[in-house]
Amino acid sequence: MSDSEEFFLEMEGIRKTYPNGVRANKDVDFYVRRGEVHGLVGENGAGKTTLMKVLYGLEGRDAGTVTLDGEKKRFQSPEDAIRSGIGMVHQHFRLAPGFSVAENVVLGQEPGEGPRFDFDRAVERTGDLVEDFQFDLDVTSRVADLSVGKRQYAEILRLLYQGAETLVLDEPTAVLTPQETEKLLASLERLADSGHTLIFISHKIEKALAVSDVLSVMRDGEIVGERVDTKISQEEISRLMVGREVSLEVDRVPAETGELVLETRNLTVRGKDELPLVDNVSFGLQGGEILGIAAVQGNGQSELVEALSGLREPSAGEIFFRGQKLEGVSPGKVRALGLSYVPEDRTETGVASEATVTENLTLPWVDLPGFSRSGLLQEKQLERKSEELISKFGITVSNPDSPVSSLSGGNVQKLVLARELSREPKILLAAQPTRGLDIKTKRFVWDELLEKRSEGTGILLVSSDLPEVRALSDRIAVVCEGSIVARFDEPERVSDEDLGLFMMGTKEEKS
Amino acid sequence: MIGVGAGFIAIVLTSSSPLNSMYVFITGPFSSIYWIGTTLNRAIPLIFVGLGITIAFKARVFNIGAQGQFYIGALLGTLAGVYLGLPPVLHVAAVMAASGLAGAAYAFLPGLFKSRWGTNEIVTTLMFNFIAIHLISYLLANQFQDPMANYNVSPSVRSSATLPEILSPSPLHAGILIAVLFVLLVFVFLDKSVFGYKLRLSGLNPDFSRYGGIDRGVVIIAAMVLSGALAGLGGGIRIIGVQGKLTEGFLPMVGYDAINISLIARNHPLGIVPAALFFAFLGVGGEVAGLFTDVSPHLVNIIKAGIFYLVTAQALFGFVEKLISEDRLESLA
Repeated sequence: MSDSEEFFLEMEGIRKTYPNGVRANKDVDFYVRRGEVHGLVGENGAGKTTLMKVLYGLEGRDAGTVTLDGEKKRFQSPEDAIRSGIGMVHQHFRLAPGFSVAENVVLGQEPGEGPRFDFDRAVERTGDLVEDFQFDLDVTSRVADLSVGKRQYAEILRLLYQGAETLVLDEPTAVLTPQETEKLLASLERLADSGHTLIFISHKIEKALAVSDVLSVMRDGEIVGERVDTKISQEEISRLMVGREVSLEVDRVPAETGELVLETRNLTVRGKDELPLVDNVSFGLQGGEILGIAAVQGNGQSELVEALSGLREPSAGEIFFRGQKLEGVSPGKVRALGLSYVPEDRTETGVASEATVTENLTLPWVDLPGFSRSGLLQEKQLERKSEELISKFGITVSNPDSPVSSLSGGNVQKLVLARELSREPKILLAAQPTRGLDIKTKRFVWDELLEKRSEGTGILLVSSDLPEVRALSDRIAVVCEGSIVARFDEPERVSDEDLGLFMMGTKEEKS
Repeated sequence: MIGVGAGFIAIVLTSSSPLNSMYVFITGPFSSIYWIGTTLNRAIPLIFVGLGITIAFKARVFNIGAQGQFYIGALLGTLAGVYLGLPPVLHVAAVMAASGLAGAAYAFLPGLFKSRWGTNEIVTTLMFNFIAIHLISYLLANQFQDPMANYNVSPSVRSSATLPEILSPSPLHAGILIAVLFVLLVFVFLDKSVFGYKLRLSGLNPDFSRYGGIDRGVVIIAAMVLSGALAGLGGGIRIIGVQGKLTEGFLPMVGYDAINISLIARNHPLGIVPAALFFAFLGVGGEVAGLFTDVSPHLVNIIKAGIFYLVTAQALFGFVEKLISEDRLESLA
């Protein structure tokens, strides 16, 4: 298969086992032709990112060779890789938010003489790159003021400025709206046309198919489809990825709505600069229904959820839980009223990573009789509870006493769901509940949410994944810049594109 | 170990017979009942204050003010020992209560400031140390000075308040048993109690604990108060076990050594005992070597400084390692 004439990058027999025993790459062969857009697809945990980190010098390898232009390479660091023209855009951007795009781009290779930094030259050079590739970006704006999509451009620019000819993009569309995604894909095509090689990591097949010339499919640390033609069908690729077919069809029975469990009236939350992040939002949520909030990240939906969960005090307006008005900041009290919350940032807020699985799972129970006696923990009971939840939710964990940091992202989310859903909540706030999850886990989360819905829980689903919002919600509210800009009572009858336009604020509801 | 190595290098450089000095340094603390008792005795305040620091650290509260809480505990313990008239066992209990409550109250304010206004407790607790030092100097020079003494020292506590010596002829007193009791109490509190569990979770991830309905403000204040109570208790026990009266500037490093001790013990209450004994051993070893050889008793400070830097560096490495491993976990996604 390998032909050094044909492939300028060859990775052969790559093997990588992490200290915790996870075999992320098992003898992986991976070949790339110059100037192609190569989609690297697979579920979460399939080993895609690991493979690219091995290439990029961020991870060592246990075995295997990397050949670049016929020369064996072993990059020790990203700097090393960039010197050979390989750059990687990570899922978490590495930018200094307080500085301008131009300053971030030239960081490390600043123009200027001696200690003097020539800001104008930096702007000029960065501007040239922006023009060459027609990025929609003002290089003098502060990174902190940019949307996630634009920050991604800044990352790409930085690598281009450093002379990268091959770009590895790790899930670049995960945080983008449909419109932003389209723009990014168009920019990537222009990059490819200008002779750059792109490796595009994704667990979303449509995205990868849209942009790639060729696909490699990974599953469970192995390549299961080597240089697959992009003409084969989505179903075939998804079968390769998952090993079996997972349907994202949802059979929904009409909602049997009950009492009004959550209501906001003219809710406003102001940020530090007194500008409203949530602006005069009013809605009601009944038991047994799912209300979907569709919004692009950073449009106030996180603050809305924080206010509802009692973590943040509203600046104005009222929140009622089952008729009871919420006063002050008290997550504990809100929880006692029957609210469960699946937070957006599951590793930072949803768990204490260094604490054990049991300690993280059983927090809602420790104060209940039977689980504690005269202030002391009843460890036997708590362990039993923990084991019950682990098996019920299928959390993969070697030992309930191991720290949560040893779990994969999907299992952390299962843990959070297990804890939050098993409290028999009346109200459930689910913020981005499937972000970054693979299709199997995503389906699992959907089923759990639908199960709670049929049990009569009122669910507020906040998501930027539009197919998800449409598939699960009984009603949809679109939030843009802190306000509800559109409401749909029949989610089946609205398209992703329409929702996207409302989310971007380019379309106003006909009133 | 490298810290100890640095100390030995200093011995080689300063001593005329380095091997003998090292031998004395290492074996000195074990050479007789007297020195063994002295070492154990030295460990008592370190255990109390170390336990206090451990509780604070578990809650992610940085109590740098254990020194001040220790002194205020000693002050109120002395007052209770001098002015209360009670039967023997009760009097000791009263002194313990007074010193523990005093330390708790003295730590309460920085805790309140932090939970209310987010004041940095490192700054406030450190400033409170100086207040305590100067308050005691002032009282010893004025109202609380022993009229019979011609230097700044308090009157002696009544004999009903003193703890018996238990390893004659050494100064070791029954406070060691109380210390062991408190090690167990703190262990049970942190590992087995509901509140200890919440305190630990809150320290591991304050955001998570808030989200989960644990009141972070309560945890901060409780951790400070318990930490201060243990430090204050250490001060009171020191007075009624060893000194019998309050002096200026005694054990001036105990609050800071305790931070090292807690870090060496990896913030585990059961680890505090060996870590405190190790520090006591270093201190006594240095003194024995200072007495019987030509090295300076300040030598031990070099060793402690070495340990301090290494422990801090190790904590830093641990932190960096954690970052790296998180990065690795992400890469599995």
